[in-house]
Amino acid sequence: MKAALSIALIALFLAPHICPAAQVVAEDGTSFELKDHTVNVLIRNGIAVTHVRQTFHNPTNRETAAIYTFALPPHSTVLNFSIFVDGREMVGEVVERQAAGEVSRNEAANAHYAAILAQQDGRTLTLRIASIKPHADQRIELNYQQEIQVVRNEATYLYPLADVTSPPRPEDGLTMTIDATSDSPVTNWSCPSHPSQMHITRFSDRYARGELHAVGTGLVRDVKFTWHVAPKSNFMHFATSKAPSEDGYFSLTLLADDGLAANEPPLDVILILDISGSMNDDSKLAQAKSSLLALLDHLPVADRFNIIAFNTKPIALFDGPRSANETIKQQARTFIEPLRGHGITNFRAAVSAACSGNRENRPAAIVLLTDGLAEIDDLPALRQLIAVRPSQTTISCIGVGTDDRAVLARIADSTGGSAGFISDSDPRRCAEEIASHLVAPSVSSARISFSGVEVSDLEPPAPFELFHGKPTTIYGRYRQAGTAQCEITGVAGAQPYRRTFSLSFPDLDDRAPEIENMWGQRRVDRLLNAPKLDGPTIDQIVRLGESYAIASPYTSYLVLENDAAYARWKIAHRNAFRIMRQREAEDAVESQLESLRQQSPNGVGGINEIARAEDAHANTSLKSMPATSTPHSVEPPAPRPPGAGAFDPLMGAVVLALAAISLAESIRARGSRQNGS
Amino acid sequence: MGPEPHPSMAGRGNRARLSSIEEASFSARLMRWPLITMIIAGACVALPRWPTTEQFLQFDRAALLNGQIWRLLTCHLAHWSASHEIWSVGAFAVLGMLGEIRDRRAFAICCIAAALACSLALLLFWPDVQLYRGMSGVDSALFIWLVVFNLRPSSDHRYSAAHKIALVLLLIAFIAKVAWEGQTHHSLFVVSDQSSFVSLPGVHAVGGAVGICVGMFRPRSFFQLEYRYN
Repeated sequence: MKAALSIALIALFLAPHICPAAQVVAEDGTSFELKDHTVNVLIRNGIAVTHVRQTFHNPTNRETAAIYTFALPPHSTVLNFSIFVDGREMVGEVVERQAAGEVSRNEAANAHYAAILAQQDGRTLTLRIASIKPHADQRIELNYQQEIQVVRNEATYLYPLADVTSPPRPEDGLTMTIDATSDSPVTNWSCPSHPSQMHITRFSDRYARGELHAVGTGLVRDVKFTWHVAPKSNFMHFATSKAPSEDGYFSLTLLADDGLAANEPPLDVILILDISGSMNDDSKLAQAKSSLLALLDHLPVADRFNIIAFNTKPIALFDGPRSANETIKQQARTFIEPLRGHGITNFRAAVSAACSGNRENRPAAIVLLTDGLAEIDDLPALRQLIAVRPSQTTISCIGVGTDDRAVLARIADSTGGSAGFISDSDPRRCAEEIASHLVAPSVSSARISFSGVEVSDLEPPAPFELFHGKPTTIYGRYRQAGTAQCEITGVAGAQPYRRTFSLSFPDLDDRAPEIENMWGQRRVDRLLNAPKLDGPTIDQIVRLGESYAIASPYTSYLVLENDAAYARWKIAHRNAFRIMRQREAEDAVESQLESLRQQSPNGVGGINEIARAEDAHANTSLKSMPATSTPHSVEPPAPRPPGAGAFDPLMGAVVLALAAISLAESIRARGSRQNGS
Repeated sequence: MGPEPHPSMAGRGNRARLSSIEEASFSARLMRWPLITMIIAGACVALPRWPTTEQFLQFDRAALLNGQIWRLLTCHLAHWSASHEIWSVGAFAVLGMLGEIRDRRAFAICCIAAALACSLALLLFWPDVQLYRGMSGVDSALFIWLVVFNLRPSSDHRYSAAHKIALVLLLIAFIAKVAWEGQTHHSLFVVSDQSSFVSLPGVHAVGGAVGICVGMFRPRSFFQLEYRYN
């Protein structure tokens, strides 16, 4: 059985016929049947932890190799990847990528179960399974976390389904449960993507549960769950994670003050359209144009804009940004319509032209519409260009039928922009979402300082920007518990900005260990976007990846057959240990939420927000809803990390006390002996 | 400095005899030093300079089952991190000095018995532990052994009530810590640095049991031995 299930080397780069998708395909391209697709989501502290459980079935009469792929949503990082071997969960560990490949090859050569989960340059995960028996099932579990995107106080959780080119259709549909909590009161929970299939129950003004059973056409749309938060004035949320005697981690989510809304300056929006030859394929240029026109429609009059079409060289509509009034917009539409694709892609020239326009110190948003980075060798130069872009400049990306979505998403992440990807039917919707993210910062060049508590390793380091209605999250580490005075300084409009408040850093907090991974992911992302990826930087990425279980182009998840195999290769069970902490924390939250649900089984105020009869599947959606979520596997627990007897300061004090007592008694005994003699 | 020679031995013919007596005196003084403790602690401190050696010494279930039985004893010399080592070896140094200068034989028996018992317990009762390092099982044995010695009735010395109460409080603190860790699966103050390891309080309990056995079945008390040296 083990030999039959042995999993060999991961494809380090996507095979051309494989698209980024949640699926398992045989080597000959045959899609495996998806028997079970269950998703449980827990949203808290502005972070969503998504548990995906999938069981694939080999429908063929032959033993075959298969490749698993999964496209992560933006701003997400893998927490864990498990494969079930003979019903037992094998938790993956992150190791240096080349070492992982070597271990995997050796194990596979000895007919042992081994697998590598690699993350491409960004968000696509791939796993090659060497052998699945005829008509056998393969169960896979993936946990990942993502930052919740909030724009104009509208928070959005996204589960990717739309980008599957050949989506496996589970026989029983997709079963999904979303437990969403918010630190601030929520006024409206909704599911615009599946309004008739998502059953939302509100249990308090800060907690709601969405239950979805999607079938048919519901499986080819991203699941989008949104809620409107009422923000606090200047400080939205503060969360910590600290184990005893270790550095603590925190996340601080900040918003610009309400009073600064009037200072929100108008934007210069630079729209860059790829018109290289590859854009002629599959109507990509037509879709990109449609998105571009939608972006134009949504530009407010106060903003200025310019359009740069590029292939080998950039062609600008105007010599500088112009006011977004209707006359100018009409000129733009006339400019866009005749554009045709030809030539090759020269990103550097286009981005360079966008950054060099007449800006007059206004904040700028560059929006790049492209089908991908054909010249992958240009990435370092592009990174360099992005790193030296003018201040207050974000870069957002709209990918059109691209395999480079990870690169585009990382460019957007690193510059404070956002990324969207056009699936076949929604070029305008994608553009509208990007347009809603084009917000000028209310506070720029912001810096944060702490006194009273030793805080270090802030991510992003500084400076950063604060927006009105769009939170900025800062992650960091702290040494010891205490109350810190926090000061934020920056520039709001032309005026200096200063805010102070106090924060309490606890000595022990095990409620949100995911903050530690998020800090590590932010740091890895920043290093990956560094203009120069030299040896020490790569070493740092590898160390961070191994310490915080972060898959990257230099680290991979390695799954081995059993604990002895890990011990044989001296691989510590760091991730298994982390997962235990994570599950304990989630269990605690789940029990709290369960008690809330018990208090009002039908929700508060009789609110049962379900839209009816909009979809042909509405009538069947609720019948098969699970009564409760099934957040965790009931499989055997994860293997222990390395063991140690740990003497600590407390035991050190006890030992010293024993020494002192012995010495005192010895002196007393000697004295009494001398007196006696 | 050796003792002053007796006037009767100051003659030229007695020089050779005097020399041998000085050597014997030097050996006796040397033997009063906690040599075993110093050697073991020194080895523990030196080992991290050769990380591959630590891997060769650690408790590795697969390697043990393949016949590398020296790991039963040597795993206690290796550690996962600097802070892990500082606390474990530091405690061993203090406990070793207290114990070895009083009864070297009992000290050696306690160390070897605790090392073997902890490793065997890991092998037999914690099958999911693949790797283990650390001196704290031996530390626990030495600690309990010394406390039991101090609490045992002595014919040579009458212990004060305060002394006994203090020892009992220390014993309670030790048991409470081990019990709390065993109950909650968390460690108080464990510093794991970059090396994620899990504390195994059960090893402390096994070490403590060894300490009780050595203390109970070794009839000489703490202060009897001290008087012998004095």
